[in-house]
Amino acid sequence: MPSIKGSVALYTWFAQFGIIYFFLPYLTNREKGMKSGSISVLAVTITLMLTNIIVILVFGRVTENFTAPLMSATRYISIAEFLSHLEALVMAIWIAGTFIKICVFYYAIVLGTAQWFNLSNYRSLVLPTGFLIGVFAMQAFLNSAEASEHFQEVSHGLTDTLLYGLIIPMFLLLITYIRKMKTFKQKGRGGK
Amino acid sequence: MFNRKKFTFNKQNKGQQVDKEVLKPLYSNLEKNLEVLNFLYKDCSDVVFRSFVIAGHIKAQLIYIKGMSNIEEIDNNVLTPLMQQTDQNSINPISLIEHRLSVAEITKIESFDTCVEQLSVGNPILLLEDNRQGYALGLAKWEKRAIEEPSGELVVRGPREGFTESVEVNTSLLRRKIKSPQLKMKTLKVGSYTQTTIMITYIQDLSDETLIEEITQRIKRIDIDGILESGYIEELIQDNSYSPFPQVLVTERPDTAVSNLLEGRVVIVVDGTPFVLVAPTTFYSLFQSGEDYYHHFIISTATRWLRFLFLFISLLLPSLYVAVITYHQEMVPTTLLLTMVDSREAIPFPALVEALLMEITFEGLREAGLRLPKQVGAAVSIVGALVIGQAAVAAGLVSDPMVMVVALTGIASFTIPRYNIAIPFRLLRFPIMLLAGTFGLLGIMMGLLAIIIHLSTLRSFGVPYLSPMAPMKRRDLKDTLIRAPLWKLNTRPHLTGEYNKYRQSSNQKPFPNKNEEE
Amino acid sequence: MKGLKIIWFIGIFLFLLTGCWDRRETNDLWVVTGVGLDQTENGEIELTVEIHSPNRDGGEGMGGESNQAGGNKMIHQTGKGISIPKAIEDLDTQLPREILWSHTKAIVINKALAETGIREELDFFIRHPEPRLRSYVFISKGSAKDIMALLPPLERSSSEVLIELAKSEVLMKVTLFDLMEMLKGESDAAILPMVDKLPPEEEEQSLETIAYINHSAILKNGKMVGSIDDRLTRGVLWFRDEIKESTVTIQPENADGLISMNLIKGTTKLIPEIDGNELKMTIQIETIDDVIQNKTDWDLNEIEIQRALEKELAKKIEIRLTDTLEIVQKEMEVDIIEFAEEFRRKHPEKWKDIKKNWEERFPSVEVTFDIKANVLRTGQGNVPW
Repeated sequence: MPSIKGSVALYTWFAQFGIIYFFLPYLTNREKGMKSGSISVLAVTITLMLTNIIVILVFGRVTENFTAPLMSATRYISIAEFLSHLEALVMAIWIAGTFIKICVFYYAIVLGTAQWFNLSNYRSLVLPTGFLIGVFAMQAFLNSAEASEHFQEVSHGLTDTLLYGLIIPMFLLLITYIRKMKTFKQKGRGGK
Repeated sequence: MFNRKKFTFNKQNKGQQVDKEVLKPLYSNLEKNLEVLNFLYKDCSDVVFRSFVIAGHIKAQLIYIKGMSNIEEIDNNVLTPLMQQTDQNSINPISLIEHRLSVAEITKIESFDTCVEQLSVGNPILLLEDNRQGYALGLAKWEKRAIEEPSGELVVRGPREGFTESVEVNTSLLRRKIKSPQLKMKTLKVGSYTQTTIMITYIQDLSDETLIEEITQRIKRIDIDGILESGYIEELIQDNSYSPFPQVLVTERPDTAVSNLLEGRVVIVVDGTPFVLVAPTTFYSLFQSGEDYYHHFIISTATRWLRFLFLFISLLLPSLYVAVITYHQEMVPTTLLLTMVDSREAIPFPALVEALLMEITFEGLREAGLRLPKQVGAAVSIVGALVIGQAAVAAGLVSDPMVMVVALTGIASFTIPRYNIAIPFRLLRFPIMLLAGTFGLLGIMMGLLAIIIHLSTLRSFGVPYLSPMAPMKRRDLKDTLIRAPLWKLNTRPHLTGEYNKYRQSSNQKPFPNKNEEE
Repeated sequence: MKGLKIIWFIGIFLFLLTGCWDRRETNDLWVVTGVGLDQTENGEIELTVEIHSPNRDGGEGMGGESNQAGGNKMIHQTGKGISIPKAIEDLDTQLPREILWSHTKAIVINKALAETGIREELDFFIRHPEPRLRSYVFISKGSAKDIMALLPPLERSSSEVLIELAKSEVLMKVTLFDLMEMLKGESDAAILPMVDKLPPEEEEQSLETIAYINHSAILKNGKMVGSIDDRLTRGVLWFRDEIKESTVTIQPENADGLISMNLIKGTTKLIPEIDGNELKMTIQIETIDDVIQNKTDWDLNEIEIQRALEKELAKKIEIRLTDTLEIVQKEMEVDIIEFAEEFRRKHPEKWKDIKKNWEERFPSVEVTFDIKANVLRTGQGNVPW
């Protein structure tokens, strides 16, 4: 039980898969969407599991003492006295990953906003949103304590996962359902 | 022999009168014809007009360009038989030509533009009195280089012949390898003055029709005064002109060209250059050397890996050195770091400046070595070795490890089999070095990301540049990072549209005959 | 469109200009290879760093002369302060260059400081992004500054000597990470190698010697409580299943002379048992040895004699282990052999109760031995001559 309890907090990553809804309409082959989505969830799960296993195998009970255990673990690497302190590489990979992640979210935000305001082209929103992202990057969390408190208090436990992973999709499904009903009824009437 | 494309002068030019004359058909009056031709070839001292009399009473004119026609053959096979006296008084000049001219190729000419066209390729023209037709005699002969081993693409194992400057020789080299009549060659003429012959070569049923159509259209669209080398064509037909990466493969080797033809690609042969273009091409095919297929597949695969390794070295090594020495000292093993610190101690420049200085010097030396005559080149390389090697270190300008880095980078950039893909990487080294000097490894990562994003947006005639990696085509991976054994290379790479998938039967793996003993 | 381009350019330049902020040219760095921590009389911390001094002639560095045998390439600097960061601050004022900590591979802590507690001080090395978790930690008998200041005749610096010594794994080898793990463990005990100056040869200068590991320091709750000698350290290594190299010399009862054996492989298993209120521990040891010297007249190729030899070997190991237990368990009462962890693993539920008064109960754990010794090879020469 304690292990399940502990893993709940880690499940926020799953909520981030909510970004997939934004891209579903742009798929050329929707049939494959489900498959690719599942594959990516699986891939993320395996990666997370592997990193956790690596960290625990390397550090054991000391793991909790590190803020970024994976990075500390890579710092601990020493292959043949030559390859050591590889955390810069990990950082570089993180940066690349974060870059892609920001790109995806950025695109979703800009596109969504453009559609919301009925803009013909999303390009005009790119620059202002970029500025906003910049400002928020600086000001959202002023220090690491604030960030950790945010993650403990605001998106505590299952809130994020439930909100983005369950409630919003359910809500969307409901809306689509109602809309479909409506159009179906109208069509039905039109048919008469 | 040639596809008839109307000979026109550049519209912007003043030669409107010339233009008008040239489009006219030949007159029956020899004098008048000569008048027009004399007008066209005014002040052309290399054009020879030779008037003579056929069989004693028909006036005739032979026109050719000095140095482009075989004069001996003109003497023996044209002038001698024609000028012979005959007993018959009324002879038909046309039948005379048919009976007496021992020339293999005779083309009838009816207008001035074909006349000019034939002359310019070296065929002598025979004009007769009272005849609306002229004859172009296939006696062109000019000095051309013999077939030699291509110096730009040397191989240890493989054919030693290379393309030459002559388009006829080049197409014959292709035809000698592909005997099937399905090898098609379409001729286009590009360049309003140079009238350069361009051959679009492909194998019917292997190449996609739309691809050939697209290439033809792109070449036809070119309106330029002259084409001197296939580089002109390359630059005028490629998809993304601003990209430093070559989107067309350039080769001097007929075997490479043929192997590409067999994969369904199109080979563009340009007159006047030994370099033929292969389109479409992908990133990975630029790292294949023809030799890969002649050696054992394990060795070829290893060589390919070596090339990719050295590609990364040539692109990243100086940047990595700069990043590590200025930002990530912890990554260097202690002993090595202490040695590096020792050798960098007296250097006045930051590592970035040091690296830039050395790399630019190296590139300069390389360029100098290329352009200089061979005798001087040796001197330059000695000076270069001194400058780069010892003198710079002794003068306290650069450190020992930097020399090592530059030397390795230099070697690395020469391991890439194709010069034109090595250049962009050599060029991109510098911006990445700057990024490494400002952001360390993160900068390198950003640079790499930018390059990868750029590469993945590129297309070569509709084929994604990074295919078959992105988009992933699993079947085609057998000839990218690895070179699968030949008996496994059963399918052609997918380029665009419909294609002829299978290139051989699937049971090609050799095996001993088990029934042999019986 | 043009405006956008200008914005782009400004952006890129601003972006590029923000770089370089942590650019450090090697010419502006002191590479620290070893750190010594001392406690002064008034309770301040004295931090000695061993810095590699770059060879000024490095630019020409082609000749072999740059490698002048030994130490005068190392610089030693000392800073003082109430804490390590304060001491470093003091050090910074003395050094014209920035300190690079990431190559610090040896941390020597003075005995006096260790006795007051090292847990708090180590926090610096763990929290700071540069020092390595793989750096080796030592306790010095005398002042750590003196150990650092040695000019070893063979190696580049005295920290390198220490590192090599630790790596050889003859005695304890403890990295910063191992230490963290030990301090965080159930038993709250730690064992660290202890170094001392090797007395210099007579004609040599007093500094031209090396430090060597001859003892092990025992820490309880992060404070040093005592030390054990090399023989007992090997005993502890046996218990901790960390024994890598050991030579055992035995004198068989019914023979005249000594037989020496070299350890090839030794594995230890601790099997805890809770019998009502009694805590019991069985030590299961399996070892494979080779004979390296035989001074007796035994013919080792005879099976009977081999059996006897193996028995003697097991007995010898048992004696050593009981001696170790005597000191560590009964006298010092520090659980460096990690019985606590074993109990927790085997009986996690009962452990919660035991943990409360583990300190009292540890000395009363009953230990039994089950040692299986094998002599695998008897060397190339067989019959004694």
